[in-house]
Amino acid sequence: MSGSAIMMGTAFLLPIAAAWLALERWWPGGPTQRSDRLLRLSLAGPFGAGLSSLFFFVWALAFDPSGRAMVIVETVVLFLAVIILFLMIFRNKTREVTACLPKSSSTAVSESLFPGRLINIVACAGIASLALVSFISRLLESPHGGWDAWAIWNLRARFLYRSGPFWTDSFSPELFWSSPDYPLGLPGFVASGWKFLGSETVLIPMLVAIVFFLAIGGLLFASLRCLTGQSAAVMGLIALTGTPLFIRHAAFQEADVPVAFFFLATTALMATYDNDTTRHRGWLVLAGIAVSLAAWTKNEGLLFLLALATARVTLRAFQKKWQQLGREGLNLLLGAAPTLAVLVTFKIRLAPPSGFFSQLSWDTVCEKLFDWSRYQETAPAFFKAMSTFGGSMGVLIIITLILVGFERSGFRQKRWLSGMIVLGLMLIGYFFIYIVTPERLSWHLATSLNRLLLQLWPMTVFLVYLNLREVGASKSRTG
Amino acid sequence: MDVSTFLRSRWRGIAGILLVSALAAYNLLGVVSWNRLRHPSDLDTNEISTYIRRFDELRDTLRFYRVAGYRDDGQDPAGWFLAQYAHAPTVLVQGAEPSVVVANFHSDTSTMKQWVEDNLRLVQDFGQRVRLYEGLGQ
Repeated sequence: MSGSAIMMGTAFLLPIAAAWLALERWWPGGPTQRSDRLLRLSLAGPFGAGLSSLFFFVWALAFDPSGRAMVIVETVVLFLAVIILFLMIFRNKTREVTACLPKSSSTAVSESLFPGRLINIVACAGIASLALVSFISRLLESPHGGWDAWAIWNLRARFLYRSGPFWTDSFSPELFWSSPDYPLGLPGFVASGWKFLGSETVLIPMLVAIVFFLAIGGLLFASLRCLTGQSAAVMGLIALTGTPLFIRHAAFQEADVPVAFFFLATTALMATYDNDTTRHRGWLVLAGIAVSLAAWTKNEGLLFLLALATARVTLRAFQKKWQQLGREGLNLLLGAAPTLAVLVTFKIRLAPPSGFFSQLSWDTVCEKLFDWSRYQETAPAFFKAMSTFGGSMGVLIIITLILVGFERSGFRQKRWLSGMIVLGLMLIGYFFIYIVTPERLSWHLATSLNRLLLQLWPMTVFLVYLNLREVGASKSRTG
Repeated sequence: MDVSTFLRSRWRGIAGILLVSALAAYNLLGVVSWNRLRHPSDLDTNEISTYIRRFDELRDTLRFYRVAGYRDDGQDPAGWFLAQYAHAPTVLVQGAEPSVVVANFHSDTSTMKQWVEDNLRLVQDFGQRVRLYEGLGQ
């Protein structure tokens, strides 16, 4: 194996291994299930990427990022972390391996149904393989990625890697067209990979895209398998990977799929928390990490953070459970605080004013909010984009939901309600961003609406299938 | 099996899965780039690699400058953005004020090319209509 392959492996595997072992060690409570191993593995890739990117930024801020010292220190720190975590897990080998949920009765039913289970496995494996082939072929076709990838994310990674002591030139106002105020989650990880390798190659951003593509599929499957059952997991995975827009944008190396991953991770972890009768605070800490990494990936992550906080406050206010709300807020903050501190530092010290907000004044916002013609243009665009999203996959999903059926009691459960409120608030937020946008409205809608909806698509699929009735099950589940 | 029995049975769930799978497979077959799968290791034959390869030699010269001017004759800003992508970490600013100016032409007869040739002093011609000029601020 060549030296560069070893360094590329180190750049990717060390942070992912450290994140995976940390998840293994501190995974919240519950009885054993196979699928939560996949859940941990799916979270480990993007969490490791986030860790590496944060390390790169903090190092660059504190020291000169041009030398090899950063690589040496990061390798030593992560290697030690891996060894220590491995020993901690090894010593606790007798402890019960934990999982997200008790096996539901319906899952047991499905496993006894030979034809249904076999068809699930064949359909899932077939579509997942075809999706992987489609994704890889598209990735190879555009190794530099789509427009946003080379004009924003990979451009910024090049600045971070190539500039040495002048890395802050990357945030020059002269580069206003490349959104220099965007956070560094994705470019930081790519630049870190090039640092380890000691050279610049398109293989690194391509590998990052592969990590997120596999992780988002794995996370959706595993979380639905844990919370609902096998049929929901299979149909959710098929619905997501069968969406052409998802495949194209994942291969374009844009930040929309990574941020969609963190939106999904936060939603799934919060749903798991709401479903866990022990109310283990570990789910909240993990959700806090996920939502803060969303904000470290794209500015839309901050809106998601706000939507999540609003949803939780609304739900707890209805129940008048203020003490529980405080506990939830503290634990979410515990997970989110380190990344948010780095993000705030970035925004205050380096990021130029956002091109979007700097062009808005109170007067122009009010004027646009009361301009009826903007609603007449935006609402139909939203309706059209949502109804045709994913090659009409949405329509078919509704048909299959009617065919398979769903658990009506699930629509009253907090695990579903919380996610739906967040989803609704995000859609409202995106809608009003278009209403007040300083850009030409038709151009802004045409160039970004599908990508914004794509960010919410994995969590939408998750929420749609969360209450699916297991194939062959007739009784309501508890949860 | 009559319709009502079918609707009550688990077979309707299986039908649901098959239906989603069929549409997903149809969608995915339209996304696959078969041509690319036949040559998977060829990462250099694509529009962007071909375009920015024109700047390879200039990039070596330009790496000592933190800022350079930029002039092209295209209608689309993509030429400027791709030139910036190629030349990072040098920041390319529109205009001819900085000490050096990158000229990226697509036509031999454009007005912009004529203006640049009349007003700026050529430092080096890198071929493929990529040139480096001394800026007005020099």
